[in-house]
Amino acid sequence: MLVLAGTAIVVALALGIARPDTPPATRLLLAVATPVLLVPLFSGEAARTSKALAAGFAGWVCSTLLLGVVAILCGARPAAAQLAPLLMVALGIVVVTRLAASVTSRLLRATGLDEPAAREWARWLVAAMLWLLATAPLWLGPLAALGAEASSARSSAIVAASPLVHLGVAAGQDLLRTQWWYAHTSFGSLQFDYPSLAAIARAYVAIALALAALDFVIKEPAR
Amino acid sequence: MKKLALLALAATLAIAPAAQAADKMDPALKEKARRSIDAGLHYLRGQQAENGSLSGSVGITALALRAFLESHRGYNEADGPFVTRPVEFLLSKVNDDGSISESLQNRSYNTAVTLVALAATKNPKYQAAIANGQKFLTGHQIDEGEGYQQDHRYYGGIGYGGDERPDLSNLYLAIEGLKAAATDPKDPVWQKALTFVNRSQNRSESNDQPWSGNDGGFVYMPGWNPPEFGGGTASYGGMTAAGLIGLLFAGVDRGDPRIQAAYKWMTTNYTLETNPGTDAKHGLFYFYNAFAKVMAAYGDDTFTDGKGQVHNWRNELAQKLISLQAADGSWVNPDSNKWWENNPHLVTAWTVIALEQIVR
Repeated sequence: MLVLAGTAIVVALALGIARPDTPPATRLLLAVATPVLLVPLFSGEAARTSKALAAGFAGWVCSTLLLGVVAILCGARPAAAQLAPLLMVALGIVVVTRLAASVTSRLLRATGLDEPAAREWARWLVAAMLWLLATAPLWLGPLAALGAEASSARSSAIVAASPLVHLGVAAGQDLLRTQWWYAHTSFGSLQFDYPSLAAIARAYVAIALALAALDFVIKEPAR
Repeated sequence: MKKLALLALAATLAIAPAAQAADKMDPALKEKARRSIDAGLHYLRGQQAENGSLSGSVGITALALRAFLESHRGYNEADGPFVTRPVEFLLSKVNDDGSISESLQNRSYNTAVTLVALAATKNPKYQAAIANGQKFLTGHQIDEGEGYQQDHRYYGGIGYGGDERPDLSNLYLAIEGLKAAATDPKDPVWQKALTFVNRSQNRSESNDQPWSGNDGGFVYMPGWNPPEFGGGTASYGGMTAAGLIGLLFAGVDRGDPRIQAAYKWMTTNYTLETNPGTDAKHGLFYFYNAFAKVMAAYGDDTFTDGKGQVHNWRNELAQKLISLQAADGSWVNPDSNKWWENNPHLVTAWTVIALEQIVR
């Protein structure tokens, strides 16, 4: 829990949570997004023991609270109406990544890996997948901008894949037009639509249910 | 001696009408431009959805509505659903915070262009929506309320809306919207806006930022240009036209050195082939639109470019825009999809507005 909180603070500082030029809304987003993106890396314990689950969630909550204080001290002014959806989406991402790690671990064990190795592989695989999706607008940007006839549907699909965008939508922030994203991706000048908050909520519930069902169905190999 | 004086007088009399004629727009071309506007408006009318919107976008619908209302046809709400439905669509997108937008994106952009369109209806029924939109824009301006002090490079700026990253393009549109909404000239919003506009100009006498050059042109935001123009702080046409409009509409006198420096940059670097100051065609129709608006506001029909050539901007821009029109009456930027210039609804609305400034 302490390692997650410490790492989250270091990463958020490196990303500019306390930099004078960082807009207040971006500070808030960094405070919530950084722990969410780090949680899978610190989920080495068996996901299905209640103690491990509680420790994982406590780590996420503490890191978010700590970074929230940093963001507020640096000038972020979160509104209650903005915080509730933001934290709900963050919770959705944490739940989905925990379940994904559990399912991946079971699948890896089914291929013959022993339990510690399967858990280790699973957390790295899930973390890598989460980071890839979060940064999808960055590395798929050139694909979105391909040709003069760039399709707004293609751009919207790429944008909709990113959990960071989901957090941005929940915070009421036009994430891809903030300074860093505008400067490093092509989305600042392309036509696209963000997914609605309702669509994001439905997607997380559906994915969580599907993963929970898979987790239930996939048999543990005999010890 | 008497003969010489008579000859000089005759020569002056002969030259004067010719010079005056060079200042005026060619009447045949003016007529062609009007037909081009009609074709553009016909295209836009045919593209309206059942609810009067275009591309489902508040911004594009508002720009197209403005194109109808400001045309030489003098369209107004009495002319039918092609005017009333877009108005209804825009009003259906009024949010509790006063913004007028269908989405999280572009809230200030959408609100600003809608204020211009609603004001152009001259219908007092929309005064409340206009006043609330005006409040949204002034509240959205980056200042002490957002935790920024006057020495911050963002101070006084306005962004797309929701991202708190301001830029000159959105600020100039907000200024245009606030002017259309008859915002009090004494409102602090103008002085704050001028702080940001000054910091976007390459003119170190009025720009306190360390990066400032001295060619008089403008950049996208203090210290930064979009990657499409290679980043950096080089002046370019679209932003110089935007900056000039910002200065003029915020009440700066035409003789002010900031305006003179920007006007000199724009006329010296004049071209209609690329976005001036760059070799790129990104944002080219945005430039045509802003250039037409600023030249009409500035008031000179002709200017001399950097090579000493005299140009009648109305004739040249009209010829260029007419030559780029598609058979169905639309326009689109075939060379760039940046800033939605692959969207014919948006580009046609912009271009019709530009032509309307030309034939006015």
